[in-house]
Amino acid sequence: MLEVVHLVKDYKKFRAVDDLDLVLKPGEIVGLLGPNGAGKTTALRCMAGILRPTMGTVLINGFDILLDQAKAKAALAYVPEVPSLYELLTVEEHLQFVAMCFNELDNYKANGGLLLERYHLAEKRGDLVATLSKGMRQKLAVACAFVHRANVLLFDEPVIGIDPAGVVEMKSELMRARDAGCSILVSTHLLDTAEKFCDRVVILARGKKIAEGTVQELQTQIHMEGESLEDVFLKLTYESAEAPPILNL
Amino acid sequence: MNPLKPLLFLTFRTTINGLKRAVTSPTRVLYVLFFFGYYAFLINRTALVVGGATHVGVPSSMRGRLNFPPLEAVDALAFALFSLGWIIMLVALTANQNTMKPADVDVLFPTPISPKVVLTFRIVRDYFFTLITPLVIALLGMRASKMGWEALFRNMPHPEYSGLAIRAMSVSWILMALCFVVIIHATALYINRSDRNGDRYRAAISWFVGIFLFGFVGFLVYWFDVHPGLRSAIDLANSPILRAVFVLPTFACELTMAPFRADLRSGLLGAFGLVAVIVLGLRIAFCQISWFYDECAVKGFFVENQRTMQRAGDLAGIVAERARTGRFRIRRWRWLYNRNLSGSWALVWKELIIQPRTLLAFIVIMLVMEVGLSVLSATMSFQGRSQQGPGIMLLSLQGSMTFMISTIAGQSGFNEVLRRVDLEKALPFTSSELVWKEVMARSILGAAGCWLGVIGFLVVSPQSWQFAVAAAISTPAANLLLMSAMFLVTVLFPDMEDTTQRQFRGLVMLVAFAVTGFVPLAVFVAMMVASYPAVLCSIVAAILCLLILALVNLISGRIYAGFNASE
Repeated sequence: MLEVVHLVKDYKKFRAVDDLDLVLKPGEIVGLLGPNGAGKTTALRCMAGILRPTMGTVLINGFDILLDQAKAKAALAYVPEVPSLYELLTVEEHLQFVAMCFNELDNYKANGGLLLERYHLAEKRGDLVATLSKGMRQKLAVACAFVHRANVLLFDEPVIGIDPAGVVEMKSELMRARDAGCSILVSTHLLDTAEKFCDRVVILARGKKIAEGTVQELQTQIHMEGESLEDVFLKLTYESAEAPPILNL
Repeated sequence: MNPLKPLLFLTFRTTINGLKRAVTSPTRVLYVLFFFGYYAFLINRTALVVGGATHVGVPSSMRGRLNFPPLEAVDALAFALFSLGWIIMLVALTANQNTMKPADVDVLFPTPISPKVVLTFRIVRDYFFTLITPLVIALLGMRASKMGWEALFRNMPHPEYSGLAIRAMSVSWILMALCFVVIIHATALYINRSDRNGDRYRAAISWFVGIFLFGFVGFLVYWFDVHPGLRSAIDLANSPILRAVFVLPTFACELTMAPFRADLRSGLLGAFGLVAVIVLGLRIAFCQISWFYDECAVKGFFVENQRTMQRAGDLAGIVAERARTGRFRIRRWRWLYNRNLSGSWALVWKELIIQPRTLLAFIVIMLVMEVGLSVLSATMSFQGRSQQGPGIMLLSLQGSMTFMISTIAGQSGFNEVLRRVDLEKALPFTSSELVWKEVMARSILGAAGCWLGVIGFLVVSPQSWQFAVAAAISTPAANLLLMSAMFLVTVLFPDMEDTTQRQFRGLVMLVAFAVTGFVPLAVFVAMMVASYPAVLCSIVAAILCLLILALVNLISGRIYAGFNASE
């Protein structure tokens, strides 16, 4: 379970994330939506313990990501938008390294083959990461997220750069994780994907949360029943450019 | 599990895979051979000396001829050297950006491994490689150094410990370097914070260091003014107040001097002092450890991108990256924005905007140099050649400045043209037209500098007007020709990522300059020798330059038309 309380992140004088509250229950997929520069990536990086929040707390399974890092991160997996990987490790070594970091080497040795197969990385297991294509790198980054038994998954644009077959596999992988009780937060620009795929969405604009709820709830709230998430999103973000309404549904 | 295990695994595997990869290209193989050859030589040489040689490279005329200097002088010298190192570190105190690889940010940071472990490991790993040379000397050099001291000096104090001297020096250096590293890392964690306090800490530390150094230099000037001479320098270096102020160099000095004094206690004091500073530095760093990942994540990608772009000579990219992170303020040149240039002239307009943004400092320096040196050449007196001397000086000066400006402005500019090939090829111009305008756009800086220099020259030496006019005609033409040759070479060797190709391209560029510029230059010189008027010589040379330029641009246009960035 992920709990974000009054999260604020400043870069010098610029407030990138402004008082974000968010709760992810076990077994749900939440879409984090927002225009460019809305603060989605910064928020995810704060949740992953990479950035230090200026204010607020991030709790993973009840453990504070700043104060109890080891326990909080043990239950967390984070996949960045354009993952930077260790170029001079082979695919297998990369997964092994992540397994070692999470103290899951025995588990990896037992199930690593399956993981490589599932992400079509088996043939590339001995290849250096430096030689992988963009799509294969993305697959490796996602595979790294499933090396350990995480129950909070943070994905930043997970399907960007992956071929259509990969996108389908990725979605089914996330569905499987949800069914297994994981809390999944997915930042995405692809609104139709979010509409079909996420149980709830959170919309950010200029660092602030401007709306949260299921697609139906958002439609009802702004009287756009039957409209697509795209229209709802555009209306909300357009309005927020003038005066940000806070809709906590 | 031991948290160091994954980090050791990462280091070991990346090193091994890097070595395996190193044999895939001849340049890399040469680098690896040189690296290992150096250490093999170092160890082998030391082992040979230890194994039996008696005089370690000391010339026979020098053996045993020198008196060992007074200990207090050696002590003062050691203290001065360590203090110099300390001052250099102070100057660089705020320079560390506290970055790690982007892969560390994306893969390692979200794992449960403690940031303290990551920081400590990073310091030790990074500086193990830096300190490996003194480490090898410390391990293998005892007997060699003993023989070296004894061979050189006839009255070495405590010769029984002389073998330890080099070891003590090496250990001092290793510990002092680690102190530097730890202090710099601890400082970096304060000054690179992404909140507003980061800037405050940076300003406070910069002011403190600046005032301290300024005060110290002022004190030194005062001291040597009042107490000149070597004796007073030794007294100053041994003064307890200075030793207290420069406590780190004092510890290093105590450790270094211990074998010469046969004083184990002072050696241990020095070593413990340095270790204490390291531990204290780590403690201070750990107080701010919650900022470590944040700083690396915020700055890591920026610094890595900057390095990559610097390697590829992508000046525009560097400026763009700085602008993205708010480190670059865009100036708008109103008079330029109001120009109504259309068609392919838009390429020239675009370049006139981009060049000042990427090369402003270079442009200012070049213009000042052109004007300054032109004026200087006009004021120089040449015996019996009052008009020709300054004129020829001006022509030579303009020629060399053209060469300099062309190589710098052209190199980065044409890389940029190739990078934006997909954008520019889609524009409604022929390739030759495009090449011509790009070459012309990059020649404007050289021409402007030349004309400003000529004006300055004419103000001081109006009687040499023929040479000034000749320079004003021939230099821009030569500049255009050199630029077009440079474009041709750039499009022939377009891979900016490949170091070998990049270096080879530099070599070929010189050849291209010589080949394309030979005929106009030879004709110009021949006509000048034959006493034709300078203006006529320059017109003929300029026409030749333009003819060759047209040919070169035609070839470049053809190659550019078939250029594919993906290949």
